[in-house]
Amino acid sequence: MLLAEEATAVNLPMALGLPIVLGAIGYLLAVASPLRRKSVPAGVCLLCAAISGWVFWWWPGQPPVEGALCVAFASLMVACGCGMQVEANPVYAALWFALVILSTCGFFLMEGAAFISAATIIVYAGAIIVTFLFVIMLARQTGSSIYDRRFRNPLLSISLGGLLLAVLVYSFQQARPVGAVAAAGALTALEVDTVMQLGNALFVDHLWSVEIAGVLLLVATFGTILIAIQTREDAA
Amino acid sequence: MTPQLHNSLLIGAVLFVFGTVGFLTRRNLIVMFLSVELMLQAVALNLIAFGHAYGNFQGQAFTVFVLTVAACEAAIALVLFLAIYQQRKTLDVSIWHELGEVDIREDEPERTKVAMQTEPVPPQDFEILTPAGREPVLPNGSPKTREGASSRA
Repeated sequence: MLLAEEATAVNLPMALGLPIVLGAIGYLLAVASPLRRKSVPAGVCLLCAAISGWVFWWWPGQPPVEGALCVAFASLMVACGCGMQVEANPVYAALWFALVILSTCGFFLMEGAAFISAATIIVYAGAIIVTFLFVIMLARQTGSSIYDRRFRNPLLSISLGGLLLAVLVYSFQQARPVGAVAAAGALTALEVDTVMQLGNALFVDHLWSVEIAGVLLLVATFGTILIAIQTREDAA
Repeated sequence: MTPQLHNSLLIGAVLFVFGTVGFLTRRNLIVMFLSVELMLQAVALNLIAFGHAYGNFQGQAFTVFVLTVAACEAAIALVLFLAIYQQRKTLDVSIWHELGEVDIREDEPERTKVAMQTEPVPPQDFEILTPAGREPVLPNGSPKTREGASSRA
């Protein structure tokens, strides 16, 4: 079994709790400050959380290039995700979201999924442009309105999120990687033609699913047009 | 578990929690929608990582379907936001708490039904008084207009 190799219990709760608690406190402080991006204690807390998380995550003997890339993409993703959730202006939130998508595409490339990476960029670029259009259409006249600045139940939600993250990371940590030994069995996907293999997987193994997904797209298009027409008739 | 799989799972968990917290705390409909997309992206990251670790392409194939469903969802969600915005001119989600319609079931107590019924208001005709006397002057000097008085009341 891949996930249950060996359970290590070296003062995990301490090491695990510190970054999550720090991150939650920083998040709360950032949410509580009315003006955002001016709050120094929130920034300090979040930075400490990132550094302690990095120390907790790091182990010696990992491949240097992959480790550096992973750290770069992960820090970009975490910073932009945090910025997106703290940001009051929805236009900037959409921009942060685009950066998060870019860093996930970097991870996809590292996992040998070049086609998915490109497709994600294309699909989400289109989706984000449409979202931008909506934000500019709908939220421009009000700017960052009161419902963008006042959050709903931040304390409860953030503690819930921190708990969820702690449980997830703890369960992953129960199967702590044992260095580069286990990596030998992994797929060396970059050596083969991944796009051709993916095409085989999609159009040979999952042909019916592809057809159904196409039907789903068509139905969604019809539904969208129908709702738009009805809305226009109601408004008129 | 390979180190790479472990990294991807950690990153996916962090991303998913960001999406969850954003969905729970934000009140703008568009930002809530973006948070859901964040959660979908975390799941796609996990799928690809598992596919890579097991050495097959099932994970990537699933990710293609996740992308498809995300595109459908984006289209439907945005057109619904547009419909909602045209009704209430706001993107605040807490406006729509009372989305459900109040309906009267048969087993509800009778007084609820009575309270739900609107009594017919008898037509009242008030006398129209002719303005008399000097118009009062406010402390700041401007004469008190009738529109101002009615809006203050």
